[in-house]
Amino acid sequence: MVYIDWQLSLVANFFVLFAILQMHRYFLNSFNIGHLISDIAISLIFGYIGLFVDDIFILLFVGFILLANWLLNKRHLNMEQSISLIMAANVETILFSLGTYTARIIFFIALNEWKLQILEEFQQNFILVSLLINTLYLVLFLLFANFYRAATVKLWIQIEQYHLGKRVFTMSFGVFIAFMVILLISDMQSVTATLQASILLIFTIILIFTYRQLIFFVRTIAIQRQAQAKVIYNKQLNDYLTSVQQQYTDLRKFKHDFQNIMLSMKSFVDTSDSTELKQYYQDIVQEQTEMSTVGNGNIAQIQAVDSDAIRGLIIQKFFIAKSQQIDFQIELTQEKYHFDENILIIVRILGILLDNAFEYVQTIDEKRVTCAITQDDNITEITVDNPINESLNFKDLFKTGYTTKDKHTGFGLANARRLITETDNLYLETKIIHGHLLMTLIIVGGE
Amino acid sequence: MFPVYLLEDNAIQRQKYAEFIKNGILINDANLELKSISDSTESFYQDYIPQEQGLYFLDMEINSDKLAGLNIAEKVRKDTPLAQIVFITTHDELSLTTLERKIAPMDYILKDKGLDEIKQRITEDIEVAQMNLQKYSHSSKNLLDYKIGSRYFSIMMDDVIMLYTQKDVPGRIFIITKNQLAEFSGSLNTFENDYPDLFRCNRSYLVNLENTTTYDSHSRTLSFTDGSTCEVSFRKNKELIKILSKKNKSSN
Repeated sequence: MVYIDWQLSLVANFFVLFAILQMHRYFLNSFNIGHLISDIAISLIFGYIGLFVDDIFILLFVGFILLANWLLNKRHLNMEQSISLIMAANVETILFSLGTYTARIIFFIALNEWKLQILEEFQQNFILVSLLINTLYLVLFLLFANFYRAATVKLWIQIEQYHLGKRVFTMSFGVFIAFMVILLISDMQSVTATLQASILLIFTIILIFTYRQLIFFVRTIAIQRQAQAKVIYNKQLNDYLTSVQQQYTDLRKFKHDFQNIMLSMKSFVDTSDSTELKQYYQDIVQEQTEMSTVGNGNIAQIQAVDSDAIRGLIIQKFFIAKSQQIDFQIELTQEKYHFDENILIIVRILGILLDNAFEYVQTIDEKRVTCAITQDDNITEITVDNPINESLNFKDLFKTGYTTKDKHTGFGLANARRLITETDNLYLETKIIHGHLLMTLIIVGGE
Repeated sequence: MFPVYLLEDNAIQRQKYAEFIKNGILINDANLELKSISDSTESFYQDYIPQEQGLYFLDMEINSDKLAGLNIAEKVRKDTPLAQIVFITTHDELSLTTLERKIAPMDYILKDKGLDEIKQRITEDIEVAQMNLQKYSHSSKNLLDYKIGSRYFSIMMDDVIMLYTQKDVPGRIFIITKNQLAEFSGSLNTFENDYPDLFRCNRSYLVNLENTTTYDSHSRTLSFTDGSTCEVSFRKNKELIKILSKKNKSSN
């Protein structure tokens, strides 16, 4: 062991504690005069205590601040502050140790004599140099930390969002205690400096890996939580769609019966003498047209499609249509639609066809788009249907840049054409009938 | 005489529609006869004769089976591609786009519109059906068939304008008709052999001369009723001029 004058020891202790606090301030971005004065005071006090209790004063110091924090916050630890403090203590302890060892090596090499006594002889210079080197390491570390500041802030936001603060605190506090124990025991047992240095070095490496693991752990948790949230969201959406479907079915049934009754009554009304009855019948028939707007519950049928991607696209387009006041109808008459091949290409083509239809109906009065899917053994047809009041040149329709509108670029259909050309089992049919444009993607599946 | 079928589960409406159909036949002096009136799928199939050209008036929902009418129409369409099918139904039972894809019916009549409108539409449909059925019975090869996967598609020969191939999509045939553009896998040679009425004007075009408007023999450009054009190869130029002049003579 090296015996050092108490004044120099005090300076070294003060330096370590003050460095810890300043790093802590840096992490939290909270520098100000008040903090600076209190930092100097508390560092002096604990630096003095450190003269009697060896390296454990750092533990006492950290413990004291945490306790004060806990009491001031009505018996509740502020996780951000606590973790920041422990991280700072961990880093500074390592940097201080590294600084001391580097200074030793420099002195040994400079004097070409490998004896501890020389450190005692030159202790004034030695402490100064080791503190200087420590400062240098600290600056390097802060530059490094500054570079990763954005990533660290993001990580912290994730830690807070998923309430992982306690776990991270426990983990880093455990590491800190272990560190202190190593220092304490090596002091008490008078372990040689070389041995202590290698223990600390190994410990440092383990520490770095632990932090890496911690970051990985936080990210994994974040992804897992997001997936859980999505499952819950999907379940709620499905429940909602099911209830809408039920209401829609009931309403439709009623409407169907009602219309049939009205129609059958017509012949009785015609043969009746009562003009009042005839007038009343007419009124009801007039009101009936109001009822034809009942609908829109049919988005719930989308549950029959087993592909998340295709279902997702249609639901997304349904809400877009709603926001643009487009009446978007889904026609799914089968119980189940199965998709397993080329799903991404189908999604892209269907997206283009729907966007195209939405854009077109914006320019006309009847803003209505229908998407129908039919599926037999191994052939699936997805049709997008919109009213059209002009004729088209079919041959030019899929050329790049073809458009019936002024502002539109017309690249969509050319892209759809290219995707179909690249895929063996996709076919496109374009048809105008009864004033409607029907674009049908035919998918030959399986075998 | 072509048969007319009526399927409707509501007794009063059934009686009304039957009356309208009989009237319509009389007014148009049509070569049709109301052969079958049924209130259920079973009784429809008792009267039904597959592969018989005819006119079908079908309700969609029969005795609370929502798809009964559709299923019958699918069978009729499969047995007889040119059958004339009309749906009489309430608005909400209709999945118009799906029906168009599966059946391509001649007309949809909405019950919401009231009996007078229904009566008028039935009369008009009888007139159109009479014309179509008469036309089909004259020529024999009046449909062009192609296949995608396991499904067969038929197109009226009168509507076909051209079939062509594109260099960047080998093995695909594109077909343009008066109202659609479709594609399927195949080779033009097969179609040239199967449909001798179509004219091969160059390596990648097979066209229907019935739907041409003009031919410029200097630039060798053939124009069609839909405004599209096609270049005729040097080798085929003479042959085409010969066919076209023959056609002109016969039509004059």
